[in-house]
Amino acid sequence: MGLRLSDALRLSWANIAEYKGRSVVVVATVAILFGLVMGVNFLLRGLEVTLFDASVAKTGGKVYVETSFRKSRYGSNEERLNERLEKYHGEKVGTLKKYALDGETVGVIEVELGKEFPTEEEYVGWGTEKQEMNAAHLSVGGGTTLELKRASVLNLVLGGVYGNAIEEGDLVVDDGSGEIEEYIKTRIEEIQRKKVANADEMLAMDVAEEAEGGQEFTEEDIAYFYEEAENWEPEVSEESIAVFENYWDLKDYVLTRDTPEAKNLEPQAFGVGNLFSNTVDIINEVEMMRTVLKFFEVVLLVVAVIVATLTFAHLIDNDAATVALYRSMGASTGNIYLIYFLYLVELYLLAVLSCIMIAFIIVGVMWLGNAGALAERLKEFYMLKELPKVNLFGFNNMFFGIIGAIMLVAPLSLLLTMRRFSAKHIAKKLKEDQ
Amino acid sequence: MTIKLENLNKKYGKKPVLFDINLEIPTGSFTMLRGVSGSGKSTLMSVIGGIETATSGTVTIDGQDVGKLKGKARTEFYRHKVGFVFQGFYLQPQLSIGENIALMGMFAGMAKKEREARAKELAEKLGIAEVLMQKPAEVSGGQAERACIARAMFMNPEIILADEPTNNLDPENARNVIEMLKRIQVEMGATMIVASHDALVEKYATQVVEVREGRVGVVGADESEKVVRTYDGVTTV
Repeated sequence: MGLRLSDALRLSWANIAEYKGRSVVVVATVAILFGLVMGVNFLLRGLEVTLFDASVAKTGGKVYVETSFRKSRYGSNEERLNERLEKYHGEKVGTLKKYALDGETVGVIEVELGKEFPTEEEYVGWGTEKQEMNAAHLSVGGGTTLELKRASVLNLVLGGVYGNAIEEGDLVVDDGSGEIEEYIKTRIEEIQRKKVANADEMLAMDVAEEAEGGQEFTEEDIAYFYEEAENWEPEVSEESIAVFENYWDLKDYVLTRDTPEAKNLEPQAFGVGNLFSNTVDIINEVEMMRTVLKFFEVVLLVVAVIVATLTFAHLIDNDAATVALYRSMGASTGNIYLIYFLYLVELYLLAVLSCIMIAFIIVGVMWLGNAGALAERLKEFYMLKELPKVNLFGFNNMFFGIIGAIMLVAPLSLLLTMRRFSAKHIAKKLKEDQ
Repeated sequence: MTIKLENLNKKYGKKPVLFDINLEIPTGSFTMLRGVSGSGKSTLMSVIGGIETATSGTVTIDGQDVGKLKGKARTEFYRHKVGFVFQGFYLQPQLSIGENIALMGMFAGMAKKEREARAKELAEKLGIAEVLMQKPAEVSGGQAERACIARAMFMNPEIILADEPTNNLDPENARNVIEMLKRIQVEMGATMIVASHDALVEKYATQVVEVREGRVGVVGADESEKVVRTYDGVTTV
């Protein structure tokens, strides 16, 4: 039986004690770099949950979205959409038709029979009053940037989440009385009259422009022009309205690219957008930030491997006499690799613990400095009655990914420096030292 | 445990350091490799001790061509046959003296209690039992050298190689160490090879091998028969 694991651990720990200074530098460097990433990940996750909760507070925890499949080659848009909704536990509750009324957009919601639907609240943004519409009117406003009252690193996150515009316009719920159809019809007629009234002026401009290009308007062209004005119709788009009982299902619905439409193989084939809140924007922005964080994690891993490998290579060269001693004491090459691999594992376990500590400190500092201010701003932004609960610590699988990345440095460094353990290299270093 | 070197050469890269060595070291002898720094003594010791391999030629120990041994067989052979006392101690600073002595036992997979018992036995024999729990930085040069000797003796080897064992010691400690090595050679019947330029060692040697610029010549140290072999032939004195 060869070298026992307990003895290998003893010998490897002796290395840490022997090279205290170098070990501390490596541990500190890795811990600080990855601790920052881990801390930001904790914050991001906590913030994600906080923002989600605040964004759905006025709809009782449920999330309403507008969504559609367009130009699907794989079946009917409606059927494919319903399949996806069912898969991610969403439910269609109605339809949203958007009328582009010459600079004004009006959304008309038709709620399916028997489905629940919020109607009387004021939602994100600021609303307008349309006295002539008696149907339930929901106020939805444009986006705004949410910033904390005092300078905070969280503004980097919040600026991205709250910098997107929520579609402006009015939303009305068709109550079946015919009033909204009447309103739309009236508006269309108004716009047609306006266009006809302006037709002469517009036509003169067009004729002059065409003449410059050497083109002439025929009588037929002129007649068509007036006919267009008289018969103007708005562009109407139609989306489905779906509800999700919780935002995690919505997140999967938005982000999982599991069908050709969802992968947007056809441009804009799959659409999902905000309704009554900015939950979809939160999902997309947080996901983008998470992607950036993963990118940094990979970069840091590469940096850590380079730093660790160079440091470790230097250590082996300094330790040539020890390696020679071990060989003369009957250590096999495998024994020597084991001792130094365990040294690296111990080192990086210390780095992991330090990294977690640093991450907690970052979260603690941010929480103490910002939680109160964030709660106030969210209450104001979402027009809530009470201060929302703010939680700046969240846990997800990326935590394990970061730990895995740190521990991966150990075997990678060893693999990249294996050549230095060869008898030839060790003998050469011993000769140089003499 | 006769050691025979035949036509042995050693190069580091393109640079030759040992030239055509032919040497026989009889069983149970106390052989001194005498030469100045840089003469090739340590390299020769390393090749005999299995730490380095020869570029060409053979090293035969007790009839076994050690160049033919590979991997585990080679490790086992050297573990049980050869003990090495390094120049400059090479005691691991973070291990206790006891742990340093038992290092070979660690790599042999011996149980901790067994190792500790053996280390204590050797330490008592060499007069350093009281420093077993101390670190190398806390003991004297003489104690450290004896710890190295104890480490070399751990597996009861038949050959002990000591590279400049008196180098860092005062005259009294140096004499003590050499006498100790001589005693070990006589009591254990071990074949002792000591690389040194210390004249004191010569007094205890049964054979002196002159090493000069990578070449060897044997100077018999036994009073009854002195053989001087120079580099260009044999001259009997």
